[in-house]
Amino acid sequence: MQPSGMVRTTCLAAGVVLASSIPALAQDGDQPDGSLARYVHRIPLYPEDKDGDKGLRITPDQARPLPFSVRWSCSNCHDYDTVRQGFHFNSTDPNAQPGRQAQPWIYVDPRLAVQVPLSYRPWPGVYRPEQLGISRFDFVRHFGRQMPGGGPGEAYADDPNAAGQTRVSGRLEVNCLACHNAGPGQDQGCPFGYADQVREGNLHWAATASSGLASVRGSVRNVPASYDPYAAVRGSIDPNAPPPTTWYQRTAFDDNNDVFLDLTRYVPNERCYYCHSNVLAGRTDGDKVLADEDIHVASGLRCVDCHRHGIDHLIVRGYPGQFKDPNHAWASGLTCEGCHLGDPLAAEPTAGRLRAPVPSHKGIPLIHFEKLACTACHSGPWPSSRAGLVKTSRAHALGTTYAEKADQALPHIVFPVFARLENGKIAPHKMIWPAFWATIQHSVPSTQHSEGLVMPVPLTVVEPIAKKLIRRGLVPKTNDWPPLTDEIVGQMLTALTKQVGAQAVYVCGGRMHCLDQDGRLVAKDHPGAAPLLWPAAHEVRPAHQALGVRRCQDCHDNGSPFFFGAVPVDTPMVSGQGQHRPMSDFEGIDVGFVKVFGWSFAFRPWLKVIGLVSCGVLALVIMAFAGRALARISRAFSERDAD
Amino acid sequence: MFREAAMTAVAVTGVGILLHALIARRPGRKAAVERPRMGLFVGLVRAAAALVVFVCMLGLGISGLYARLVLDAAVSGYWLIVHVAFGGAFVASMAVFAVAWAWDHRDPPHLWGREVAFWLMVIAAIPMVLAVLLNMFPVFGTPWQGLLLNVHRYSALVCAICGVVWGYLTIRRVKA
Repeated sequence: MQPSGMVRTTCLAAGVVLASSIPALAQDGDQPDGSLARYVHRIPLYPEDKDGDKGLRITPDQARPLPFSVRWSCSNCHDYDTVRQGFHFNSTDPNAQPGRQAQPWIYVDPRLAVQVPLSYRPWPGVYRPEQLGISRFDFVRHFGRQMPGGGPGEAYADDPNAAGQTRVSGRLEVNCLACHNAGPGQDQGCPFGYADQVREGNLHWAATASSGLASVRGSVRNVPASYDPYAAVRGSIDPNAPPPTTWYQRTAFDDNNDVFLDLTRYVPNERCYYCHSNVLAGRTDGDKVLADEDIHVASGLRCVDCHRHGIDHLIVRGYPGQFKDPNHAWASGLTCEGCHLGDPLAAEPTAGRLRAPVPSHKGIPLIHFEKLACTACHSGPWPSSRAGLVKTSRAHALGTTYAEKADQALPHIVFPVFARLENGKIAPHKMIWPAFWATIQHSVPSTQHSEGLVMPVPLTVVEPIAKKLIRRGLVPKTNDWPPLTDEIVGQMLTALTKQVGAQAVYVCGGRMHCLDQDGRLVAKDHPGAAPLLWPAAHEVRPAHQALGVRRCQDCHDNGSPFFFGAVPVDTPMVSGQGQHRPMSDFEGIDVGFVKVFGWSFAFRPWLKVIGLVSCGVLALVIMAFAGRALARISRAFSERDAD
Repeated sequence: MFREAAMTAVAVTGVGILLHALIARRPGRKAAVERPRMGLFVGLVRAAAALVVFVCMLGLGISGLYARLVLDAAVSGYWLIVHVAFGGAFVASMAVFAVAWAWDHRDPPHLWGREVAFWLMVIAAIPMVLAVLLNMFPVFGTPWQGLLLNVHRYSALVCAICGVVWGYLTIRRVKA
């Protein structure tokens, strides 16, 4: 055998040995060895083949490479099926714990006068997308821009009716890179990045396009239903309407055809911010100038320092009682109290984690800690006389090429609204007033109200009618509400009632509008029209900017925003605009009591003076008679000596 | 803890007074004639101060103990406003009461229980009032606030029980 042949044989043998050892290494990356150093991910890329299995390794010399599959590229070392059970990916899993109410997805269409909260999680007050006639694929195309994959992005393919779409678009796999890629090239929202690919329906290509390793152009919208992304291209490609095509950067591959991905378990905050940014309306132009960061971030903490998880990716959301199972007992301390106060019953000191200052709360009566969540005084903007609007990444597509930049763009999320949590404590919330066209179902067992269950009318039914009656010109360029007159709403309800064969109603501004027997528009209260609130915990202000830091009257004043701030009632109906409700409505408190209590603060200085003077008098009386008693005792001793 | 202590103390005091009323001899005529001589105005002030103190004490007891004993919760809402309103009147009248009645309790006690009850009531009133007043200033943090709240509760309990005992013995003495 020639020496070169021996070398080749030896290399092949070594390759076989290494290849055979790979299964043994599978999921090895999920068992940490304790090192805090970053593991360098120089890895091969694999596509998914036509059968959904692991395809042949991607190399830079391939003529028409497939997009890499995160599942098959990462599952050499990580258990993908465990990861996809995580909170960011399990919304469509009926067995997943929904946890505390969080921000839902909000479907908005000003032309239809619709602003409706959607979620696959069974939270009260939200609707499942299919109730509005939105398929899982359409849902992913609409909102997947800010989903890290998985969930409906994979589950939509389980629907036999979506088989054709699945073949063309592929699945939106869990995109590990969306969070864990610390490389500067990770592109979630820029042109042709993740968001654009998802919007085009290029689910199979989205992770690759975002990775910074490749460029993806074209769209599945340009291809016929019979298109096979795995087959060779036949005929010429229309350069103006190409199918999705992937070009890898040759320089991204090393001599071994591996690529370097700067993956880290310490997810950079910017990765979280892509989906979890908030900006107050009116501050969009100068948010970096006017708004400070959350005090934790400013102090050097990362989001993931609190929002931790194991390989199960069941991320700690930071509220008490999230986990019931003993495997997650470690998570119980990752709350405000956990770091700042610690557990007084713990065997070892736990307060002050991560350099958290232990608060003294000087002069704050203890009753406050029974009635208020920490966030009530410390989170969100300092409340003003009228609650404002906030825009969020997920609601307004912030950080994408099609972000809603206008302050008044729908959806209108009111913030801060002080309302009660499930545990009875008051905390700041974000809130929307749902607006949608619906019918009332009386036959369905309703937990809402004896008057029946509000069931949204599918958008496909509403759209043709709305487009006739709500003229395009009515919709402001800012994507704000069109001004709906009672007449337009009445016409819509008449047409919808005729179309769906049941009495149609319009829910907006916290009320349900319907036509009475005489055809007049009337508004009724209905639980199905109630505003939807979810707690907001971030944008934490420093202690010196907490409510009550100046004086008790920050809240205990009859003009204080905390109790008497105006919460705007958001509605497209002209007849309902300009209305508001007092903050106390959402706090579930007795307004009369709060007023009397606030009024009593006028007498508090007097109480202090009278109390201190009285104590002084009492002390003098005691001292005077104690002196007399001592003198008497002394005299008794003297008289005894004299005897 | 305070709830149990308060219930026990109230029960023991009630039973004690009842038993004392049934068993103990009434003070003799001698005691009755030892009443201090004073003008009408001074007498009215003394009586009014005692009356106001005891009305306030009743109001404070009901508003303070209702939440703790019945609801097993902190005093809040309208109960708190009532409690603070009675508290303001109590501290003012307590000073007048102490000045007006202290001379009566200057000598070595011939009615031992009444003397001790009076002085304990006056002494306990100081930490009781100071504990809540200091909590209104930005001086003490959460742990100290908790301690001061307990000081307020227990000293109030002592003050109330001594007040009831003193009132009972005083009425008994007056009737004699």
